[in-house]
Amino acid sequence: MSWGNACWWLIYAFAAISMQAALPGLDFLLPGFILALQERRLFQTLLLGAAFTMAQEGMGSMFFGGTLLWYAVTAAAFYAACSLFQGRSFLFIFLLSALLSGVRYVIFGFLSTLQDIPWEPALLLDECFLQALLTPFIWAAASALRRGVKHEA
Amino acid sequence: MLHRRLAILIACSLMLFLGVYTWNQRTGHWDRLCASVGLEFTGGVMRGLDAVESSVTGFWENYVALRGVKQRNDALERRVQELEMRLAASSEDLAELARLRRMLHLDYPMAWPAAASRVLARRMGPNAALDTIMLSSGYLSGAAAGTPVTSWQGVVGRVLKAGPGTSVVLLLTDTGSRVSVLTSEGRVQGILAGGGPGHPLELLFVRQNAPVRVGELLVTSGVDSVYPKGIPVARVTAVSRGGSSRSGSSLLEIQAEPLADLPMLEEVFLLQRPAGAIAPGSDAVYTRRAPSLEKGGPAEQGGNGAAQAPDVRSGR
Repeated sequence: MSWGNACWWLIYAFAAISMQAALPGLDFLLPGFILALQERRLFQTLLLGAAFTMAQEGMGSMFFGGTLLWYAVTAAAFYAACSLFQGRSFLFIFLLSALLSGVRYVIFGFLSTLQDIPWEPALLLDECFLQALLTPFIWAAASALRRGVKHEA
Repeated sequence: MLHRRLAILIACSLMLFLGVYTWNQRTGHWDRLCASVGLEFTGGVMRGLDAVESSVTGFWENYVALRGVKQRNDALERRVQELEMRLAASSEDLAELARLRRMLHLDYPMAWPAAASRVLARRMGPNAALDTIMLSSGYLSGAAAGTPVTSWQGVVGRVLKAGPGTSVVLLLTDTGSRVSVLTSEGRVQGILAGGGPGHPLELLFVRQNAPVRVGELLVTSGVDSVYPKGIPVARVTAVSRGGSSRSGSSLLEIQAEPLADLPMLEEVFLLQRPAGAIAPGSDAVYTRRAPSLEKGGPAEQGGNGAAQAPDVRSGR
């Protein structure tokens, strides 16, 4: 991973965490992870997946595991869907994002119940809906900004 | 063949995940690692943002919003004079109190030193199921798990988990929060439980004929050894009769609101237990469910409330 590439991801993480502070409950690192999956560089994907999982689990208040499972499902769903569809279109990301938001509802609802944390289905549903809506646009913006760095790398 | 391999792979991955999840729940190793790395990184980002925000608002406050400073200064000076007069009047009472305590050989709890900390963020990310805030202090600066957190208005909560320089605080309003309190006038003991964000707090285990009135202050009782005695926590907003425990005994249904303005918090204090003070029986911060009266209320549990509740998550 080149210095320019590392700096780009660092700035992306900085911006994503800042946005997460403004909109509680949402994951703005996920579009970056999808972007990394699309670039198909194994080392970069693993590194970013580990770093993003660590950051999300660190700032959260549940036991370790939810984000790891969600990101693993993201990777599996992405590779499975790529064998059927064109993996770089906006529509593809929109559908993937909707699917992942549904998965998020199931995972975090299940883990909250497992950890005996009372959770509000309506609040989680709202967050998942917002996540499904925002992820494609964040991905599109990051993708457009990334083009320059990718060509240099 | 491919489907079978895929099914085996998925099953093995799930087994591996459940193994890691269960192992972490028992040991907390992954949680500690994430608090040291992920929470610190997030704290660093939020500190940077905070610095930018402070410089911008500082510029506004120092150069632009100077209008009205003279009037505000005059009002504050008048207020200081008034408070100085009150302080002088009460100093004689305090001296008398100290004298009487000495005469009665009454040990009074030692003062808990306070360290200030800045609020960096509210709950963040998909993993933030609990009602929490993030602070700019970690275990290196006195914010270990279980540390009580207050504001100048009253109790805020307790540190849930801490990295070296950043920590996460479980707020008073979270459903997993429990504080042992007593009413300021009637001296009635109870356990103050969070009702969730936007919902009132609930005072549990208060008998039907207890003298509790609307508007009364709830202060920490100190019997749980988690908080020092006498810190204001909440104000009673509603009292109704007709509640009952699982064992059928009659209880009051009491609602309260926190004194600290939790959504607007900017700075808080971390209270440090003085050397020699009694430590709580457990460092549990998150209580999973309300302790059952059938197993023993606060009195039967030695009054330890949150510290001795049956199902608890250790402060991580």
